[in-house]
Amino acid sequence: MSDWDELLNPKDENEQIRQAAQLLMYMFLGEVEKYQEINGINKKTLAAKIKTSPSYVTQLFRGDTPLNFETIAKMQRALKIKFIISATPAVKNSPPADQKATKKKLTKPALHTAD
Amino acid sequence: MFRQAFILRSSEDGRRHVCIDAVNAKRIFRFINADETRKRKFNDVVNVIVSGTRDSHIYGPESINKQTKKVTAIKMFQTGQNVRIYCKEQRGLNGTLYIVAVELLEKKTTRKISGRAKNMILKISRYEYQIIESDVRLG
Repeated sequence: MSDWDELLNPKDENEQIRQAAQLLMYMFLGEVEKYQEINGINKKTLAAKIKTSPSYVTQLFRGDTPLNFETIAKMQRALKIKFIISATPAVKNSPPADQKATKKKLTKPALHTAD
Repeated sequence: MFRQAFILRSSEDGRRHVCIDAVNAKRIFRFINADETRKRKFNDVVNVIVSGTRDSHIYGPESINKQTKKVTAIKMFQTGQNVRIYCKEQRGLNGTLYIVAVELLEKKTTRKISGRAKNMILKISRYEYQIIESDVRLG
């Protein structure tokens, strides 16, 4: 295992869960940011609409403060949007389709260049 | 002339890859690996990029003109260390997106893009990458 693999692979279950939780949070906030742009609502206005400070909103978007469901609900209301939740069974330890294909073929590093 | 980059992590559908510039890999690795909070934050940003999630507070364009529109930045610890890792986005075969982490700026000191950062962005905008899928990566 290379040093990078060691750095990028969660060292235990707790870290796996932390990373997954963090990603879920960013996914919610990604949608919020998209609709902020669509509706022309900047950080300051969003903060005012959900009755918090702009710095708190910044902390959320930077992932420095956990996002709770009450705040999500407030953001949903402020932006007049609705989160639609869906789930799908996770595929465990399955490498991406194109990697499956290329790994077999490789005897030396493959080179891809820009189109 | 092409530079080389190694794939660090790929999306489940194989359409997005976060890569590291082969020349700067060691320096970037040492910097991130020196501190647990850096490791956590870097992992979080990589997850965000690979998943295609949008969050301009931690990853986004750092373009200064038309020529540099494919230059982006991973932003970490804006209130303290204010670290930037400048990246180059490159489309590969079948539209696959490769995001190559190229250069580290350990402390961005101004709100605006400094002269040093501008030079870095201009330089990176001219880079073209050969993406290497290999198990041997330089840590």
